[in-house]
Amino acid sequence: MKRWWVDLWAFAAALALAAAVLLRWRGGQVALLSSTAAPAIRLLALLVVFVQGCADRLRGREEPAGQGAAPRPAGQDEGQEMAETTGLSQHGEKDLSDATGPSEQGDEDSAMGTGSPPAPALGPDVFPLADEAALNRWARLVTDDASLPARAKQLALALLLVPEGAPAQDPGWSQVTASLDALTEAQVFRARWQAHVEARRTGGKETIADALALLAAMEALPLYHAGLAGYLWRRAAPLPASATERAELLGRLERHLRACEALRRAQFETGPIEFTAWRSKAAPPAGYSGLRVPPGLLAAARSHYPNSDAGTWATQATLDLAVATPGVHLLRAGQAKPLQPGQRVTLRRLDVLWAERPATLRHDELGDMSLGAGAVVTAWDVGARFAAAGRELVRERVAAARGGDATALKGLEAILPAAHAEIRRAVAEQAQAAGSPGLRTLLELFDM
Amino acid sequence: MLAGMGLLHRLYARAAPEVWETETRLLHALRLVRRPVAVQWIATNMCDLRCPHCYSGAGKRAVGELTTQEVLRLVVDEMVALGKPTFVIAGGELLLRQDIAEIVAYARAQGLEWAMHTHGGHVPKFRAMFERHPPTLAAISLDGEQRQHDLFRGRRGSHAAALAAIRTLKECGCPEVVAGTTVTRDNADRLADLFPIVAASGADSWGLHLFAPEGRGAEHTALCPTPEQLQRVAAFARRKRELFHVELCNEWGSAGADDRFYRDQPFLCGAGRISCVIGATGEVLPCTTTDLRESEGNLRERPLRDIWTRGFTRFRTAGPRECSDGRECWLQARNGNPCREQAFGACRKEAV
Repeated sequence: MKRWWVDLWAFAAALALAAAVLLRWRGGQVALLSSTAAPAIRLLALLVVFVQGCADRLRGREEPAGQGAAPRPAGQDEGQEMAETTGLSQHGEKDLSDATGPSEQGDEDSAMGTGSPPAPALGPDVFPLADEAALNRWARLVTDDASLPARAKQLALALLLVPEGAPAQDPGWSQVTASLDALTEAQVFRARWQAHVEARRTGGKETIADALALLAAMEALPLYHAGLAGYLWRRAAPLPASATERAELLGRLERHLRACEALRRAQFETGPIEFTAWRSKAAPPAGYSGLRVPPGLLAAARSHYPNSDAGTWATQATLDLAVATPGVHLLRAGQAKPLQPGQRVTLRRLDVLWAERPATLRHDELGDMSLGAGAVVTAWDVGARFAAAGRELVRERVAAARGGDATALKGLEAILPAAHAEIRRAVAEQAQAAGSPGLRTLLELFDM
Repeated sequence: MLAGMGLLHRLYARAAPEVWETETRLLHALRLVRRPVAVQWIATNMCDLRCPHCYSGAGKRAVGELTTQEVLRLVVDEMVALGKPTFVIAGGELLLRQDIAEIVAYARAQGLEWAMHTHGGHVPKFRAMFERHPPTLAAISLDGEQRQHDLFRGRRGSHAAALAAIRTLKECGCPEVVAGTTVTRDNADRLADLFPIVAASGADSWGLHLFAPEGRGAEHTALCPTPEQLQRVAAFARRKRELFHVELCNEWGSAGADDRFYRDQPFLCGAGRISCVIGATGEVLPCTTTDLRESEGNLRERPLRDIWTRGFTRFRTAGPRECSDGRECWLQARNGNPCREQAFGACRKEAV
């Protein structure tokens, strides 16, 4: 039977509403939006924007793009850009401009004069969190508690706040230990990272394999965290490694950072992961975690992953170079690509340059840089590769910036990979100089 | 149902500024007004510091500041009628007002959540008040490391006092204590030195405000950061968010789709739309400006509810651009100092 009175009621209600709006509109009255009407208005606005967006698309109008709007994952942007990361030797910046051989980072490759580029095998490039269970485990590690920052964040912060070369009795180490101890469920991870902390504390030697193992221990948890990944990059950068080992670590870090980026983008869409502390006087039910992972987060992250880049690692603190001679290969995201003379490349911090024979690259300002046969160069140690004139220019600019010259500081930002070693030396020498705080801020843009 | 909500959230997150503006226009067309989410009250113009960047030009008590009874009646009671927005108390230095404890107690009794902005120097003296009525959010100014801060604030010991205030407020149970730094040309390149201090201070987050040439700041326009500094600070903040809760505050304007790198929620300028400021003498302003030409009325002449519902139309319609563009900070725009393009423009260009 038709429930005519329902229709009548709905019609009357709609009529009354319309009349009320009309009367208020004509009378110039304004009323406060009630909490019940607010969602309806929001829904209406969403609808209007959606329809407007559809119409714009039909008309072929471009959508405004943000930094993450159309990123190109490393390895997919064929040959247009290349980044070269150079490793600062632990003794300071060496003059490697005579192209006599590989850098300290690439010592093990010195025998490789010619041959195919040593690309590492990184395996299939898929979003690393396989299911909701993995997502929940990750969320528990990276989400701020009601009163405490996320455990991963605490660990990364504690590790980064311990000054370089801090003595074993530095109080910062106890913070690091406490942050590691908080990760009670992660036995393997803790053991591996505690060994790293011990090595750092006591000045012990580490290898690039150790760095890879630290990363593997993180990802096994699964702990995907850009801060910790950045820390690992910084620790591993000066360690000696072959081109393949270096490219493997940087390739894995690149994927790690892309996963972080995809998860960040997904959360911005679905809403953040939230933590609600248990507030009842009664004990919480078994398994209560207080964590609310928004529905659809995993699917959204998966869909973003293929088009996510490594964030600032892909776009900032880079060095633009031009290839002058053949024989140079770019190793990026696990792929090796030969570079042609005349090609312009942007050296990123997650890239490796490998020379199969003596080769030259050029920077518009700093001039030529030389690579010996088998040389491995990254953004960390590229500065030492430039000829004397280029290195002198960097030195002058750093000295000016340390004296407080804002133009010099701006100029250094554009050549951070080539200048960071000189900046470190300069601020260590005169920590209190007028421009030293600015240089320290600039270094932060390179180190993370 | 959950999936439906998820879809709506996604749609909203993708186009938050557009939805926001459309919603504002719709409400205006329907003669409806949102309830304010926060109302900031400049408790007094008194301050014992003379910071050159002060947006309120604080110093001596202003002539005709609201009395205790006026605050309770014209501010607190009216806020209750407006749906209990967060009561943000700022200054000057709010803790120099003799009756502040009475006002806070009354507001709490009426069920209002309260928050405050302070330089922190007087926080220990009010420990009992904070223990009894902890603010939901307290922002303590921190302009640099010890030497820089004390020099800028013009008082030795003010840096130590600010750090002590952060600790005291946490001990008193304040759920969110924010270390607030106003980025100026003087300290923009010193943030790397300040970061470890903030991280170790006990603060829950670090709010990076941006100098606005308002109040006393209008006499020190040279403090405006350079475009290069803006870019560097934005890049710095983005990196540090991985380690600590760093947020670029509203003066920075919207980074568009890149907002996710700099803040927890997409930027939307709330001036006159979801928030307003009540000056020390009762003028109702869209934001923290000292320019009384921007006033929508005085509480002594019209009730807050009336001013809120009938005023601020320029923010709720397609009026003057600096008022109707929700992606720009109104305060910066009105001073001809919009900076979002400078701070975030280069990042966007790089990636596209």
